Amino acid sequence: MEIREEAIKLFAEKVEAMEREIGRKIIGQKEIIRQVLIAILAGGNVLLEGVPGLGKTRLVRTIGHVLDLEFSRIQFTPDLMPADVVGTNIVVRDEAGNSRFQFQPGPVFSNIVLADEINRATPKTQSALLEAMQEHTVTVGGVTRRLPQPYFVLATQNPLEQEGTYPLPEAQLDRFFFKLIVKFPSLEELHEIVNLTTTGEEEMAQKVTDGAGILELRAIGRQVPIARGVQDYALRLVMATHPESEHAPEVTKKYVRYGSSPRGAQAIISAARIRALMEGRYNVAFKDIRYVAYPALRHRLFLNFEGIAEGRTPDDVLQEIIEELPE
Amino acid sequence: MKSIIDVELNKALGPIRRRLILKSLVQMAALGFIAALFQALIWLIISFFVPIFNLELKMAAAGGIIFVLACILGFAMKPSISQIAREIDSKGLEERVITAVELAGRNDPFARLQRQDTIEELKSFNPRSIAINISKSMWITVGSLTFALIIGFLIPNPQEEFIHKQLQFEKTIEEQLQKLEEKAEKELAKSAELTEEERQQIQNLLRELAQELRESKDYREAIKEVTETEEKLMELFRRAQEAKLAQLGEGLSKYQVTQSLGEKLKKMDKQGIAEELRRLKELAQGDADKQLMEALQKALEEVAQQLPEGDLKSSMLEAANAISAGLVSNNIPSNVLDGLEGQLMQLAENAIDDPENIMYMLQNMKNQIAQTAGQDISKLASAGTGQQNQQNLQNQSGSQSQGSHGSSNGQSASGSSNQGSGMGNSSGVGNSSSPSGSGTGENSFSTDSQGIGGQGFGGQGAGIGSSHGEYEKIYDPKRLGDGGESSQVSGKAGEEGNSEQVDAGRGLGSFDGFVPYNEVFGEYKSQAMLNLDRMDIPQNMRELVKKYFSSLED
Repeated sequence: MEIREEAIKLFAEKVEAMEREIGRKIIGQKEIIRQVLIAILAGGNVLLEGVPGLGKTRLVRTIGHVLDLEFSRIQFTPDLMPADVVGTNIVVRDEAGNSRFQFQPGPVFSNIVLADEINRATPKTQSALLEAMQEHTVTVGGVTRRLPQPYFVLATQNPLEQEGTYPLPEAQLDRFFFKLIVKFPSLEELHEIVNLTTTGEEEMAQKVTDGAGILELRAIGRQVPIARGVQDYALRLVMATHPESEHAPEVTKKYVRYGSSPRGAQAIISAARIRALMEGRYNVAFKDIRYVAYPALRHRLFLNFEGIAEGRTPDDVLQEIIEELPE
Repeated sequence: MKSIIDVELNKALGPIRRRLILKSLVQMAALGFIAALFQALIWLIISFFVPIFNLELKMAAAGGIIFVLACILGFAMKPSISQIAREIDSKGLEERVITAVELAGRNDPFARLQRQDTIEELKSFNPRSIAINISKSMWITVGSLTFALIIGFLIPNPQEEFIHKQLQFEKTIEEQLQKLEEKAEKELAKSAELTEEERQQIQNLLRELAQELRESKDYREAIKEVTETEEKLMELFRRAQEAKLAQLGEGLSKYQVTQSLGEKLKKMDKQGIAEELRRLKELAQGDADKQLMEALQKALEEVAQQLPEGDLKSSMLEAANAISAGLVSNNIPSNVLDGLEGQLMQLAENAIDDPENIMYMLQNMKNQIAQTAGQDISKLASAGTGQQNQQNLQNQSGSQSQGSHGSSNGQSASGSSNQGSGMGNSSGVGNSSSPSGSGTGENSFSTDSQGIGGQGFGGQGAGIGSSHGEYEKIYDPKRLGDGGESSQVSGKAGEEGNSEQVDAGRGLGSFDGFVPYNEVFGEYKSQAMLNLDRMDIPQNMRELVKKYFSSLED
């Protein structure tokens, strides 16, 4: 796809418009909106972690509306079957009275999929999403079908209720581009939320772009230049999450069981490119790397027993790594 | 080929680049200064354990070199474009410049937009925001090093005394060498007693000595070198005198009247020579055979003509003239051959003649070196090669008062210990501590020479007595003209005889026939000692003479 200078210059404006429109329906959570948009424009999936009622479903719905994308929601439960997610072949009778198999697409066949409380489904059902998330294809009955583009999975999980849940395995976590922590809104934000949602005077968000527009923005985002030194910094940062690495600082050696996969590095670079453009810059800066490092690596960094016992979080460890890592 | 954007980018980077180069230069200069101070401190610390000459000069030179090198390095090691880009980016340009630099040559939309954006940012960038200053840590380092250096210089350095002595030693060596080179070589060139080859050999020896002395590291080495040169010179002089004796013997043996003396001289038969001379003296006394005397006069005169200039030649000519004069006046003086006898005996005894006081100069040099090193030359002599005459040295070093120019040579026919012939050089150089004047050099007499070949040199003394303001003057009959021609008085013993006197004039200087006794004391003493050995004098009388001279020294 040929990229026009004009389109590059408009990138920041468009994203700003998206943020503005989404912000009409979502009070607060500006960073979450921004980071979700980064993930969408980088072509990644997002795992949202937060207590229920923080507006996750509303966020996804709004994004779907603003981006003019098809939206579907899957509420994951222990009895949810893989076919309930990806779809199945059903027997249908045609006009001539002959029976034949016809594929009934599941909810994954949508531009934006909200996998609500993904950790409540069995690993078998969770893994049904793997192919969709990674390959953007679904294989049912030996037939592989492409998912609509742009495709984006936004999964949520509740950090409190762990009983009866199936924590996502590392391999599946690694397939999420970002893991975002949705925080409880401030008092002021809560006032606004209450005022917005209880008066029936909700503002309507405007559509800013469409699927093709998103694909074009993705193509632009992939071209953002990054200096060798900046890329080196990002890769050293990823290496520093590995306790056996020579780049690993003391905190990694002490608290980390194992570090990020190469997907983490890919996620950082891709996200940093989008973030740079969103900042109105045509190159990636160190601060872009630092900004995206937390959502890109926090679910790829696994603490050891000592780290967990001392109450350290991946974000703490990442902060120390970043502080010690020279540019 | 560079695109317009690249050119613009370079242009925009220009002032910043210059600023950064200047910054780099200042930084390197500051580092160089710190390195210079550091090396100075290292020098200083080492100087407390190892003597370092010209410490401050070396510190300054090394420091200067380091500083200049650092500046050159700072100028040569200009920051690369990448370094410049990173430096600017760190001032808030968010990696725009380094990215733009890496995108150089690319012409895709992103590359163009990115570089345009960078150029716009650079235009609003003030190069002066890049501070050219020396960091606080550098100032602290400079302050600490300077403080340490000041403290180091204030602490007394135990090596300073040694260095001071060594410098004095080098200065002394240089001064002495200068004197030796200027004086000895010039005098040698004029010396008639030496052949050209001998002069050349002596000059070579002195040049070798000069080289060795300049390379010598301490006074012991220097004194050793001087002593070795003395030995070589002695050997040289001895060979020269032996040749002279052989030549003389050869000449005299051609004449009937002196044939026997010539043979004895060739054989170096001292006793035979003495007997022959006694025989000739007896012939000349009383009613001497005129024909025989004429033959003797002719032999002496003709042989003298064949000899090189010197005392021997003069003595022979004097004797020949005296005989000639005696024949005319029919009154040949009884002591007509005394001078010749002295010279021949001296030659026969193999006593070393010191042409132009070279040996004295070397002795003087050794004395000066030892004094500079704060050492007693007598102790050095006894601890060293064993070639120094101990008694001689002891006699001369008793006092702080030092002769200003003692220079007479004493030569002895034999040592009192019967270990061979000895030679004493009188000397005394230095300043008198007495307010009333300066002492003069002291003669010495070798009585116990040891060392190679049984030869020994008297060492240098420091002079006699500090309380003597000026020595009593005595008449010196041998030196009517100091520096002028030698005088000769011939005549007949007895009141009635005719006498003839040749006035040689005053010569150079203000010599009036009277000299301070200390100037001739050494010579007198050595002659007295010589005669004590030669003549048949009772032992108790010998002791009396010796005591007399000893009392004069006290």
